[in-house]
Formats: sequence, structure tokens, C-alpha cells
Amino acid sequence: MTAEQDTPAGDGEAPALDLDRLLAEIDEEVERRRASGELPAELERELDELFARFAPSTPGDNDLDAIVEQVERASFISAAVPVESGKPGASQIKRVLRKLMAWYMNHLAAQVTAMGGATARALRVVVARIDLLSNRVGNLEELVTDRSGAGLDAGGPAGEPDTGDVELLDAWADAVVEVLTDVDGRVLHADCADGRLVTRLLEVGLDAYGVDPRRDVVDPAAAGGLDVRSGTVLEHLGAVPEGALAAVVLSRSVDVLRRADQLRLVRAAAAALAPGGVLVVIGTAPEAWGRRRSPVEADLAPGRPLHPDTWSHLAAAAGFDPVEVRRRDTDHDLAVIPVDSDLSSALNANFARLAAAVFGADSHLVVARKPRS
Amino acid sequence: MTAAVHQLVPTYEAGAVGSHVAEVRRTLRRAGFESEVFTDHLRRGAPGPAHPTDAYGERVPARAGDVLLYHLAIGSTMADRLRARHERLVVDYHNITPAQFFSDWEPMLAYDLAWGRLQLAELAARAELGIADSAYNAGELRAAGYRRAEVAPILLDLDAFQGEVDERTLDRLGGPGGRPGGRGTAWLFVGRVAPNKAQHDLVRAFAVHRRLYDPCARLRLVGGSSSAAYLGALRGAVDELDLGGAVDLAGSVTAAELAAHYRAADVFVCLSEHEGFCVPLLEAWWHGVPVVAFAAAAVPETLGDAGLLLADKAPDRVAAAVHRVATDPGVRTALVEAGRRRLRSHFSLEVTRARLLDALAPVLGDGR
Repeated sequence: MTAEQDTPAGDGEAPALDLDRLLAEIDEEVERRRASGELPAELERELDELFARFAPSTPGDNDLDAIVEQVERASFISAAVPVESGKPGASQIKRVLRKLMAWYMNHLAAQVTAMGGATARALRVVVARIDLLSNRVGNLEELVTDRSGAGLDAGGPAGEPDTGDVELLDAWADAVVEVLTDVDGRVLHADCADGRLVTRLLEVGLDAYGVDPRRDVVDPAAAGGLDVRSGTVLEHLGAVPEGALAAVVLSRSVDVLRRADQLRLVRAAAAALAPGGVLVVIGTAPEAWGRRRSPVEADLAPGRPLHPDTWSHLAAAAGFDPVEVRRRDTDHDLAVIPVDSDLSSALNANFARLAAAVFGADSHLVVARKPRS
Repeated sequence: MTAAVHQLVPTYEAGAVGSHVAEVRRTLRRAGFESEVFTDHLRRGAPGPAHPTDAYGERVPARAGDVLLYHLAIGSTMADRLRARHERLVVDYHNITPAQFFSDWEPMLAYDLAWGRLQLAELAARAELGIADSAYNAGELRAAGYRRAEVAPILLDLDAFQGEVDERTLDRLGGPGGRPGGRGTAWLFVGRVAPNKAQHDLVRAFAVHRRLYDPCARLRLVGGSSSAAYLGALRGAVDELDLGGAVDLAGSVTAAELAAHYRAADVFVCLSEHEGFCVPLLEAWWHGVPVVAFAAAAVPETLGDAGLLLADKAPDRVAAAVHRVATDPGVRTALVEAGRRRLRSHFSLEVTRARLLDALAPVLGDGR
């Protein structure tokens, strides 16, 4: 049976249409085409980039130099009003009017241009001071982000995701699939690494795609036919239309983003999710995070992982309800001794308490749902 | 003495708001009220007579108890003058496109839009009532501080769609072709070429549709431009995709040419990001064209179940939806019928006039 219901049509009217079923059939058709590779995964991105080339060269929010240049360009006010017209004689009339009013318009234009120029100069001074501050702070960040730096190599070879990253995704993959089984719509995974979680989600019939800032990791996955794109999660969520996503899975960068960016991330995810949408955060426990990194990297990272309770708090503040937390206990255990006396039992119990205190949970999954209304 | 409900509209011209103003005047007069239209800019082709705004209080007497119905769709000095007056005020809100859609493309227009939103909030304290074309718009009124917001759909004389069809245009367009034996699926969108209408998303989806389903498909974009920069970018993208022969940027057209475009269309596709109501959906239904639309702003509530509503704009999903609607006769017929039913049940003049008078009742009472 197709989307046209099999109820008889009376009085010459067309049979009623089951729109939900029709949309489901269209979704199946889309999935079939995607799976068959008829539509290359990169085509959508190419179409986006194509239009962006023709769009105004609008600087991004972070491109302060480009914004100031735009101000400088706009600060020159021309008094040479266009005089073209399709109406007979109108062009001559406009030309005469422009000539008659030139003394007046030029005087005003000169003053507005001077004001614009002064504003642009003031902005240049501010930008120079911000650059100075950024350079000072940036020197610290470079120590962390330069993966070739001594003692900071937390990742694998170029083109491969970090081992810790992969381990965490694999550890939580089943739980994420279980949480998202019933969502209806697009699912974003950021940072998706080599797309392993995206692949899992596609396998269970979800319309999943991924973003990751590491081009060397993303491009091989995209070449293999996965819909994964290079870019940071904040940039991507900023470009996604409001309410366009059914689920957002956050991982990896959530642990080291600056505090302000972690807060922005929750708000951006809330905006991008449709009512009823699901936010999933795969995070490292703050206590375990330092153990996985060199002291230098851990000390100089721009941000620190948040406790799951903090993610819950942020999600609730952004309007998510309910919010659920799952923790994964570490597999580190202290060796026990054979139990042959009260003393050995007491010692083993103390070892267990000690292991829990020292190691504890190493990661967590926070699942937050956006209310339907 | 008969109470007066006068309308004020910054620019009175042909178009959805202009037609609405003319119908509101007719409705109010039939209901026993005095009603005149005042405007700052009377354009040729305006759908009815109007006075210059400064005639109110001079040629047309201003009386205590007069109700002024102000049509708000963009920033205007008229709103500032209204704030200084003392007559009872009702704001008829037709939505203002959020300025951010235009800030990169047309900064001056973005300014006017932001100005309009500011005025919307400033008038909240003065207005006894806000009327909105849609529940979506009513939500914006409440968010702007209006104590009372009522929904009354835009008043349109649907019979006016039954004008002549420009035969030369119809010959050129060649008629619908999505059905078997046709000459390629004809996509149609009607609306100003503007960033919020997202014609670029239509081009993206259309390119995918040609690649996956119908290499002979055609896309017709009807409507004047609100942004020369956006129009230029759209043309650039179309040329780059080598779709120049398949995409027709028709610009502004006459009513007869518009009728020909609807007559020649297989599917009306709307991927707009922001609509306060979306009158072209009604036009498509009237002309028997099935609708595929992206669920944004007021589109879902105007469309109801009389079209295929998409939750996202993934180009292959849009393409698949258009293909299904254009080539499945059962789906097509059912959508066309649903459109006609919805037009009659929700948007006939009989219905919308009654809803307008109901919406105004808290202010007008039994002042006839």
C-alpha cells in the first residue's frame, strides 16, 4: 500500500493522502539513492561553496581585520548620485538637479566621510591592541595545539584520529545508537573523526552526517562516500538553520574548548535542534582527563572537561528537559590478594575503595532532550 | 453617529498587502463603519482609492472615538507620527523580515527592517490590539509587548486570480511537463528574489533533481528583486552550474503572465526561510498546482495538510519530494484537491472577513 490510502473516494474527490507515509516513502527513496552512491557525498558541500563564492565577501564574526576594512570602504561617501533613468528626459533632469545641489551634497558628504574615516582609524587602534593581546595568549595555545611539539603528541599518524578519541567513541557507540534509535531527521556528529560513529548511525537507518576540523582525518572518510565535512562544530552549528536537526552528538572538542565556547556550544545546539531533538555529549571525566595527557598538554590546554553535572546544568539552563547522565567506570583495578583471613578481606575492601577514589569513572554520556513545545 | 475605522498604510500599491487593505475597507464599510485609506505613497496600480495621510484631520475629519488601523510591514515615519496621535490604534502586522537576512546583502534595507521591528515594539504601548495574519505573527506581536494579539488571515479576493492568462507567455513556457510524456518537470516559485526567500536553496535542490531524476527539468523564479547583490549571486551560481537554459529568473510579471506561470507549472516549491503568511501558496492552490514547502516560520500553519511539508532542505530530499509529486498522478491529484479544499475552508473572503471582524470586536464593540 502506498501513501494514497485505500479508502474509497466519494463524490469524485481524490482519495485522502497519508502525508506521513508519503514523507516516509520519500525518505526511503533518499536513503536508497544515498546508499547507492548516485549522489556523491561531497556534492552538497560543493553546491554550498559555489553559492558562497558569489555571496558578498562578508567577514565572519571573528575576522576583525576584514570587518575594519569593510568599515573603511563604507566610510567614503560619494555625492555623485546616479542619474540613469529609463524614463525619457528624466536622466537630463537628474543631471541638472545633481549639478545644482552639488555644493550642498559635497559639503555633507565630506563631513560624513570624515566621521567614517575617524571611526575606522579608531577601530584600527582597537584591533592593534586586540592583536597584541591575542598574540600573547596565542603563544600559550600554540604549545598545546602543535601536535609535533615535544611531549604533546597525543594523536596518531597524520590522517588518523587520536587513539583516545577513537576509544571513547567506540566505548559509547552502542549507547548513542540506543539513545537515538527513534529520532526522525538529520543527526550531526561533531567531532566525527574518521566517521566511525556516523557509519554506525547510518547502519541503523539514521540520516547521519559529521563535521570535524581535522581535514586530514575527514577527507579520506569523505572520499569513501561518507557525508563528513571539515569545519568546527561552532561554525557549523552557526550555519545550520534553526530547528533543522533531530539530534546533535558532541565529542572530543567539548573537552578542551574554552569555557565561553562550551557555553556557546550548548546554546548553539539548542537552537539547531528541532523541538523534541536530542543533544548527546560524550565527555571525558575531569579526573581522568589529565591522566591521558602529558603534563604540558594538560596544563596548557585552552579549556578543561566539564563534570557531567555541569553539562546537565548547562543543558537545563538552555531549556533541555529531561537530562540524563550515564557514567562509564574505568577498568583500572588494584590487584587483590587471596582471601584467607579477615585481614586480607579488609585489605581488598580498602584496595577497592582506593581504586574508586583514584580512578573512578573515566567518561560520561549526557543525554538532553529539547521539549516538544 | 457611525464610528470610523480608518486604515493607514505607508505605501499603497498592488500586491498582497494592498489587496488586503482594499478588502478590509470594503468589509468595514459593509459592516457599517466609515472607512478611508490614508497613505504616504500612492503607487500607480493601487487596488483602490486613498487619501494623502495629512488629509486626515483636514479633508477627512478626525473624531474622538475614531479607530486607526495601521498596516505594519517595514519601518516608516508614519509609525512615528502615529505614536504622537491620540486616536485609538490597532496594528495590523504583516511581519517584518528579520534584518539579519539582509545585513550582508543590502545594509540599507536591513536598517529599514530593523527600524520597523523597533517601531513594532514602540507601538505596543499605544495599540489596544494587534492583528496578525498568522499565529506565527501573533507570537511576534506578543513578544514585542502587545497585550492582545488576534489572528485574522490576510483578506484576498480569490476570484481576482481568475484573470486572463497571457497566451504568449504560456506558449513560451510550454505547459506542465512533469507527467509522463511531458518536456521536463516545471518547478515554480513566486516571491521576491531575496535572501530570506532562499532561491539559492531552490537552485541547489533543482541541480540535484536534474542530476538524479529529470535532466530536462526547468525552474522558474517569478518576482522582482529586493536585493541586486543577491540576484547577482543567484545568476552567478546558475551560470556556474551551467543551468542558464533551465532556470528562468522571470522578474516582475503582470497578473496575466503570473497566471501563465502557474498554468505551466508542475510543482510549486517554496524553500523560504521566513514567511509571515505566504500568499503564493494560496495562488498555487487556486491554480491547481501541488505544493512542496520547507517548514519555516508561518508556512506550516498556512499550508496545513494541503502540501508536502519538508522538515529540512537537504537537496536530494527536496528533489525526491518534487519528483514524487510531479510524477505520481495519485499524489498530485490528492494534493491539488487538498489545496482547493483548504482555500475554500480557510481563506475564502467569507471566512476571512468574518475572522477580521471577530478579531476587531474587542475594539469596535457595537460601535456601528
